[in-house]
Amino acid sequence: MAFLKRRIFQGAGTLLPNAYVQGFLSASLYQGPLKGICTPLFNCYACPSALFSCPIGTMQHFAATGKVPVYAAGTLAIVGASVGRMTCGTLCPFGFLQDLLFKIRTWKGRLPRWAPSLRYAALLLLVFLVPALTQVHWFSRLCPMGTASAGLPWVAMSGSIRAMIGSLFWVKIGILLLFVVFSVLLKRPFCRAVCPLGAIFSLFNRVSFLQLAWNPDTCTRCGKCQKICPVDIRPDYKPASAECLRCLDCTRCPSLKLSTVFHRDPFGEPGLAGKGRGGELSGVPSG
Amino acid sequence: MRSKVILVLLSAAASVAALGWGLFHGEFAKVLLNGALL
Repeated sequence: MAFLKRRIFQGAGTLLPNAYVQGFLSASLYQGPLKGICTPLFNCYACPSALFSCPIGTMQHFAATGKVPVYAAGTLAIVGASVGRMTCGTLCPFGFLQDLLFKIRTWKGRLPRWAPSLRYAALLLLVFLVPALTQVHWFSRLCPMGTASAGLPWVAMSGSIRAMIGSLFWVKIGILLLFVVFSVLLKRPFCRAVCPLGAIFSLFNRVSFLQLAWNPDTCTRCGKCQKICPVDIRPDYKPASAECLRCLDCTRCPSLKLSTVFHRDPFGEPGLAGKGRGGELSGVPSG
Repeated sequence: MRSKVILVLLSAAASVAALGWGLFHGEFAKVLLNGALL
């Protein structure tokens, strides 16, 4: 039931920020006041139906103009401090697409352990450093979500844009295809290894208001939580992991549940807090 | 436990301060312009 509910949220997270259907009908971009709001999602603002701005595109814009993007950073920090990476797991359209692609039955692999650190490099290099040095939004130029939801629709709709197609377009198509294929074989490769938005939110996972709580007394270490986890982690080993998307799929197991940082005893078993944990929150091990 | 609560409160305060500063300095309009120009 929780799984079905997440799919409904993911569908809403895909449709609602892209509710400007007129953009597709009239081949135009929405330019109203909502475009000034950054969504905490990976949703390209150049998509004809996009109502909101992409926070990563906004940050690049400010880096390219040599300014600090306090508004976009503050928006993301408020979301991150409240729910950690929950928007990645429950609302993000590109995450939804990767979840669906992974459902295709074929050989499945595992992402190397070092791969998640690449997303911090993508954030620092492609979102801040390279745009600051070159005044070009390089992450947005290569972004597979941008290619899928903006590049391809615009090429299909506009003859003048088709005439502008150059080698960069085919590089973008190649990157998109690469991630489509990887998403069939690996669990959420883009979110884990590349997404700069996920990199920002993952910095808050350990200290966000919402936390995943784990009950060591009832957990049998069966590993089923890892099998259903969309990012292939063991929430029982590391409930506050920077990789955790807070999708709550694993809370189907009674040993895991959603809690808050203020809950001293999420499973209602008195006496656990502080005992042998150096004062850590009971059921929410550090990690 | 206490350090986690302090950290969550500090990060919330810092993010509200950043958002408020950005709005006060008209970044909302700049983001709007950026989106509109794309």
